[in-house]
Amino acid sequence: MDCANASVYDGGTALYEALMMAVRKTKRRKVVVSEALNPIYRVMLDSYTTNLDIELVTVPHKDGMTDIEGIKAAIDSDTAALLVQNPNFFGSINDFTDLFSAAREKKAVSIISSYPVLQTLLKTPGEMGADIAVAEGQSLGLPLSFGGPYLGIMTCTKKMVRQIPGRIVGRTEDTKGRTGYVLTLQAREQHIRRQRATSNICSNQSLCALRALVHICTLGEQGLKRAARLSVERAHLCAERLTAIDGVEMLTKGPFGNEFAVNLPVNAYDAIAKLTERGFIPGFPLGRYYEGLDNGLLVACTEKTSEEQIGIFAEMLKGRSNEDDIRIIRNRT
Amino acid sequence: MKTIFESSVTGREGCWPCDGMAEETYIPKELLRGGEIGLPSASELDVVRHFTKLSQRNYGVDGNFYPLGSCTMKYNPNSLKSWLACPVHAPASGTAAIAGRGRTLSGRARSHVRNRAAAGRDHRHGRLHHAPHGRGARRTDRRHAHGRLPQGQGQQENQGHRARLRARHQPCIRRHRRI
Repeated sequence: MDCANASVYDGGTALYEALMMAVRKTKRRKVVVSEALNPIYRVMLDSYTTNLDIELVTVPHKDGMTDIEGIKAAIDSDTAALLVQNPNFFGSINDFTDLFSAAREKKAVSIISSYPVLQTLLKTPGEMGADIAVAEGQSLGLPLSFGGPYLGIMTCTKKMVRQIPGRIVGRTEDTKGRTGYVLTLQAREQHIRRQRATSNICSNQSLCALRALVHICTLGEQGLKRAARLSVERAHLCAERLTAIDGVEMLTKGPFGNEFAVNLPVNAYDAIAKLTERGFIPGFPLGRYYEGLDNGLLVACTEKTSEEQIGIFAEMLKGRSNEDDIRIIRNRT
Repeated sequence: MKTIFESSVTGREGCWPCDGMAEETYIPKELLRGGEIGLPSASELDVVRHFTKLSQRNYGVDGNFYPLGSCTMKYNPNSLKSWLACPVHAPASGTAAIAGRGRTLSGRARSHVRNRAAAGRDHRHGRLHHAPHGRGARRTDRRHAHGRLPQGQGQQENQGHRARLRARHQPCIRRHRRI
């Protein structure tokens, strides 16, 4: 991607701002959203666009995968943008190059929400031909902190740079040939254009962005790749252990990164409640946002997930667990 | 002043939060990116020096007299940063609330907090910028886990049998934290 701004509040806000960039650029009113996009972000998009004249068309997921054909079919001459996520909410990974070229033909803007940790491994939005790429930067060294503050990362191609909100820093040279940095393209912003500004967002998450930057610099390229690869490996190990249990099946078909969804033989809420009582939070219940997936549990593993924790999780889910084992995880976590 | 890219040397790492390296990627090749990313990789010393130097190029509250912004500092003092980074302070995350079982700090965790604050150690890890005035909390309280004083110190303050049972049975929710 050619340009990034100095951050917005979080991934959901970044997605909404990207949507508005597309609407302003194309002057169209319809937006195609994949149902496999994070449901919390979709709730945010709904709230933001309730009183705006924007139609959100949701294309249902197909078995936990993003329905690429469905999205292609939903794009028409009135579509401003399409929104997809890679890896999607169920964890599965796709290559959207075809989808984005189809969107380009219809002059719709391609917006992708990605996951920065896995982006060190996966095909980049630039390689796929996206116009705008947004991400939630919390995984880059920021603590969970009960929902904030988080870090919204926004990037776009040179063609969209006049529409992107937030601060942009440009690099230039002075008369003596020394490199200098300057806040540029300020004619987009509120203090110049007042009510005609491209966006009303004027604050950013510089402190969080700084923390993410320090995290990246300290880990380095090798460290980040290692963290990503280990997360993927642990997730696959966890998936193996869980699907070995009778009645538990993979909901996520196809290749996945460090997140995956499983179908439990019981209601996911009950399973989570039982495990939470023992001090172990296993994952996210899909039934909360997806109809018909009441038994679905979304599990994520990171490089900090030990094989011990995976083993104990599997045993707890089976219903056979030992007080001693649980004390082990508690003392080591 | 050099940028962090100019101070980086390929292959350097500043810290190792995870061990080992997974060889297989489990993801098919066509979904992977090609080539190097071009992110900076510097040692911890270089990173600390870089960001400290960068911060000192700006006139700021850490180095000089700065009469503005004290309202923010009253609610967010610098010394609170490392204290909050301590994992013991965190009750179960939002997912528990989604599952309908929000938990708050248990009695045992609270004593841990007092103990940690009193010791004034441990919660300094992760701080890269040492403010000149930053100091740990003083040793005001020598209680350890379970809220009991060590042997021989104010025994009358130790509760009876019932309270001891209560302290032992309070669940301690340790949150698995991603850094």
